[in-house]
Amino acid sequence: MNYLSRVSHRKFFNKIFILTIILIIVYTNTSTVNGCPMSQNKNIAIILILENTNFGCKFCMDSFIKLCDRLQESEKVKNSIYGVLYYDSIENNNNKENILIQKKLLRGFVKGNNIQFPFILDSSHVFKNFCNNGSQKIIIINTEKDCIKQWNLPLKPNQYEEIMNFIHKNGQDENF
Amino acid sequence: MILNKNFLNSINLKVIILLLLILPANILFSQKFNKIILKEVLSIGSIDSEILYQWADICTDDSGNIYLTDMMDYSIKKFTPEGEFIRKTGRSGQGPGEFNAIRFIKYYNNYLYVTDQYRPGIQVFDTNLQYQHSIPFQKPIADIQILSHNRIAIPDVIEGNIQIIDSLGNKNEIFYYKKIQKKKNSDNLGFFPNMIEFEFDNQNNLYMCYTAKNEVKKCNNKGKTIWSVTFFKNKKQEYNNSYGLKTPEYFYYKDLALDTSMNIFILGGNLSKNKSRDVYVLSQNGEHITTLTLPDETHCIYIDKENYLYSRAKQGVILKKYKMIYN
Repeated sequence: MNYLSRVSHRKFFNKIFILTIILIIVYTNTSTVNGCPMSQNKNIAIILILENTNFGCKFCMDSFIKLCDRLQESEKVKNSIYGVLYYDSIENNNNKENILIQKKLLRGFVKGNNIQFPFILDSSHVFKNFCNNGSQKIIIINTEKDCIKQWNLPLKPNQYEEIMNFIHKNGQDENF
Repeated sequence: MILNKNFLNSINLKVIILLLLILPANILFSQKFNKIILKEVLSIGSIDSEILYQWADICTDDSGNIYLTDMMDYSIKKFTPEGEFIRKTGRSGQGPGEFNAIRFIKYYNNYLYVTDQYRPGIQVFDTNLQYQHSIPFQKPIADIQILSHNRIAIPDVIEGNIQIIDSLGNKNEIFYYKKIQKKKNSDNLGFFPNMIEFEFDNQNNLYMCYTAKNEVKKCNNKGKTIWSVTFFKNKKQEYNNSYGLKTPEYFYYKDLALDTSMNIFILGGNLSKNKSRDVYVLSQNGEHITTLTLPDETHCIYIDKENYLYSRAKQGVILKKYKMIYN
């Protein structure tokens, strides 16, 4: 192999090396939660709050699960959703075992309903004041619209569209 | 002399055979006891495992395999008698083999009958958990007993009787266990006053306990009350207004099961000394023999053909199986 040929090979492999490094940086510059890659839409944050007493109520859960499905279908926000499971520490003991039980029930709920976004147990009762008598909520922070809104569940039929309109910048989205 | 002796022996033999034929076996061979000790023999599920999330109902088949309905992942799960997981089926949905809120599961002659709290009808599976067909039934199912493939007993919580339907969902019989009220209840108490847990024995006698009323009773196959007992004297039911619906303050009894000697096991509710843990054991005559206390609160009890008792632990994350030792 002559000198010129060696140089061209070296340049070629250098290009491949640089391209590989770029690809590695691009595809790993995301945070991973629960094994799912998250390319975060930094303009939207959606928090869904559920209380553990709702698990036995189909009327309550139907609306919540339908909303989860709608949100997960939206490419814009499916990676900006966080779920919070609240449980009453008076009704349920706040001991370590009960926390583990609640976490287990949450895992079952997430698996059974094919929920793809992170869902956490509020074992510190941060969301205590948001939950009144088993109510569920969705809170959306939309920096594009400079606005924070919340809705109580179960939702009325027109409220699903209202939420999707609030999420999407121009109020229109072919996905919903 | 010899003839007389033989004659007497033959008379004795005939008397014994006659007694065996006319007296129910449960009276002849019933165990005399005044205490039951529970010995845990099996535990399925744990806080850490993903095998079971929160079970709602249980049954066993002729081989002792255990079937559970799991509310959180909408499934039926099958385990060996030793608790080894075999398979599962089911998911959320409206189609065959899918559930919105899976609840009761009953076994009869190689088939499983499964209900959904929010979907009408009964889904039938084989013991390999393969969906077979559905039996139509439009009213809510608060409890169910499979008397045969063509006789399925379901309480009508609106009318206050037990409907017996066939495998096509046709109502063939109605079992009345209380007087038919000419005037509708105007107190707007809904279906709570008629919610019952029940079992039939092999002579079609009915054993039942009310959920929101302080009464446990046995009726004969004509619906006539043979005996009636209560466990919570001076505790009258109160109803609270909740979103326009009156809901009971007390749940007196939560479940009922029969052991192999036809003793009646009644799971107490929130008025029991040990809430949802005390089980009152009655004889065939309605006599309170003993009370056993389960280690953990449960919403249901089940007794299999080998006289093992099953109940819940850790809010339904675990199934416990106990050997009952009669003392």
